[in-house]
Amino acid sequence: MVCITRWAGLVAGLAAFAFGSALSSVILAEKPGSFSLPDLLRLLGAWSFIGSGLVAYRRRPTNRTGPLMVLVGLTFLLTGLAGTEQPIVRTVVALVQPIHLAAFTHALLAFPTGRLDSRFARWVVVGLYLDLGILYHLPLLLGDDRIRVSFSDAASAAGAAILFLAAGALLAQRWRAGSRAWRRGVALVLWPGALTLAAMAVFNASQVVPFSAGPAPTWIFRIAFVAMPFAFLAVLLRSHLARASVAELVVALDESRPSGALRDALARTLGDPSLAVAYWLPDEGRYVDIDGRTVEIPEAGGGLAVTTVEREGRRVAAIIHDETLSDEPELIRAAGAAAALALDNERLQAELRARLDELSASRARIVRAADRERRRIERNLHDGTQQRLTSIAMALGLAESQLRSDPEAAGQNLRQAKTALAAALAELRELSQGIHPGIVTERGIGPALEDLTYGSSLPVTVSCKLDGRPPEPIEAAAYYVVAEALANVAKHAHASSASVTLTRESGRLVVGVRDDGIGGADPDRGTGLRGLADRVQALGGSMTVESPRGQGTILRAVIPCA
Amino acid sequence: MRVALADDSVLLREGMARLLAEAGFEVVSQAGDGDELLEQMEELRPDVAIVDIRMPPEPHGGLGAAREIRSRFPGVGVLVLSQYARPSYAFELLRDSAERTGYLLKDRVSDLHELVDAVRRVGEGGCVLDPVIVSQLVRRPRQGRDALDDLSEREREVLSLMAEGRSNHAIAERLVITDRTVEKHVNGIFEKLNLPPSPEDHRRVLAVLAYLRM
Repeated sequence: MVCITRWAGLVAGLAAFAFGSALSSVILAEKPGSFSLPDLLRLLGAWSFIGSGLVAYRRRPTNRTGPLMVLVGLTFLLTGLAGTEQPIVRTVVALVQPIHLAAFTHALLAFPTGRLDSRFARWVVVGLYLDLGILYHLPLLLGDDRIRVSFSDAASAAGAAILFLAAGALLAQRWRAGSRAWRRGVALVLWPGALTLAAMAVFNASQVVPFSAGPAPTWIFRIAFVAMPFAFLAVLLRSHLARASVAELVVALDESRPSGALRDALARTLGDPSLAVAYWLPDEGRYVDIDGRTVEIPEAGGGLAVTTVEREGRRVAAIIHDETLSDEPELIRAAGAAAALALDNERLQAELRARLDELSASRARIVRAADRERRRIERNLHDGTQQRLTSIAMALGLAESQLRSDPEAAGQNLRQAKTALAAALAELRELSQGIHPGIVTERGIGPALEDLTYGSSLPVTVSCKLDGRPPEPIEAAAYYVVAEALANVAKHAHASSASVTLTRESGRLVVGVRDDGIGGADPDRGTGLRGLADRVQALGGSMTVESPRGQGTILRAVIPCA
Repeated sequence: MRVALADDSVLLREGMARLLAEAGFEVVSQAGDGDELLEQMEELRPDVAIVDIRMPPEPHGGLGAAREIRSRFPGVGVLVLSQYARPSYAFELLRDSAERTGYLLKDRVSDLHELVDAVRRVGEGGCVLDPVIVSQLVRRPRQGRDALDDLSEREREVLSLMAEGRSNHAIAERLVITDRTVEKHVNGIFEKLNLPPSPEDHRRVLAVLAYLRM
């Protein structure tokens, strides 16, 4: 998108330049001998508008002031062709050239953002375009009726005078409302602009009311048209303005804000409506938006750029903005620095929301895991143990009835019942082990882990260096982590051995399970590891899995354990 | 042989008392927890106490009572019954001595012959370790070169039976070979595993277990 508009802008700029050059050469060719000072000033003024406008557009593509200046320059250039003898050209020139005054006023009122910020300003600008674009030309349609023609002329001039005056008043009002920094920034444009508008109002008024304004207004206007474009450009490119808007940002930040207002304030200050803010969560190493949802930071290129905001040496947030803003790194940095505290506060909010989201997700997972476990137990009890006990009851019933008639067969059935009972006991034992390994509670994590190694299908060494027993929930979590990890190693890792370490480091229990297998384990896949991470997190701990392909897997759980 | 029973399940206790009486033992007392058992021990001095590993007082219940009896009444045999085959429980029980001590899965009560054999062996000063535990220890995967791999199939059988606490004579009967052959196998095993020779069965058990635990 951004690329397309940039190309279109480039093409439009080149076209404007070519058109202006063509016009200039025609004008110069038309008046080979009689090239007067006003003619020279006109050419200079027109080209200073076109040139400055193109530079402004190149440096501030998002600001409309540049294109407006080009429009002023081109229409102003056309006034040089007013005396041409070609009728069609003369008609076109006559129709379009008055527009330059309306465009000039437009550019002034929209300065410095390039946008008209009040309804009154919009009315004044639209009024001027209508007055100079249509009312001005009414005499052409009215034909020879002299009275009507002079009335129409007078109406157009009077309207223009009033609208120029109103525009000047608007500038004065904005001056009064502006902050000191802002005034300092725009003074170079606003004062000469207001003077020019006043001169134009006086000139137009002198067309209606019979008084002589003298040559002063015309000269003010001529000089202004040569000099003003440079003032526009200078102000636009100067960083005063940026500082002024950053100062306004600081004021805006001081007020209490609903969430999201910070982004809006930054977008306003930097003049980039599509600007986005991402908050950094250092513990999780990811960016989130204000609602705690993960934000992917865009790659460089593609029209977007990223500026990181730090506070007291810590990363706080990232501002994702239009690439063109990268021309003004000081502005972004200043805005970021001004907003760093507020961004840090919002970061905490975002972090909280992300935690709450994660919490409710892990709660849901824990509930689901518990349900799944119950279903598993119910199924095992129903399919295995219940069926077996029923068959034992039948065998015993049979044996009872055969006791007198066929003692031999009765003994056979009793033996069968005994075998089935042994199997049922074994199943029950396995099942109740799976529900909760009582050994952890009875003997502690060390012996429990030792017993895990006897049932393992690969060599496992355990190093458990704890003084005293950690609280029961922590022991249980550590046990489940090791049991599940070893089960995974046996199932997936193709390892030749594994080692388990348990240490206490500055108030934390650190559980490590390492194997020498194929690696490539994905902790997000499968419910087993996810469930373990939930269990560890429920105790305020964290779990990480490092599993580079071909280099084994290291699972590490850290649980606070004062 | 005089036997004391301790189990918090009355049903199991009563059933076992009937079984043992049937087999010719004299059941002199029944207790519901470790403290009660120790009180009775004082006056009754049975030959063997059969103790459920999981019973009050928590958390060390049966195992605690068993160790207490071992230290305070060295002449009394202790047979611990456990629902689960836990090597670490067995090691805890046999930590100091394997004499007059046994660790058996509860399931074994369904086989009267095995139960009676175990009680008798413990009462006579020997050691009993459940075959399920022994097979866990023997089959456990080991890192690096494993001297157990050098044993012949028959030698592994003999090793397992030794770890269960059986005498040479019992091993010979079980494998239907002569006592001499068993002796030869035992010597071969000790040599291959580089273990110091131990004449008494219960010391031999400890040596083998220590090796298997490594």
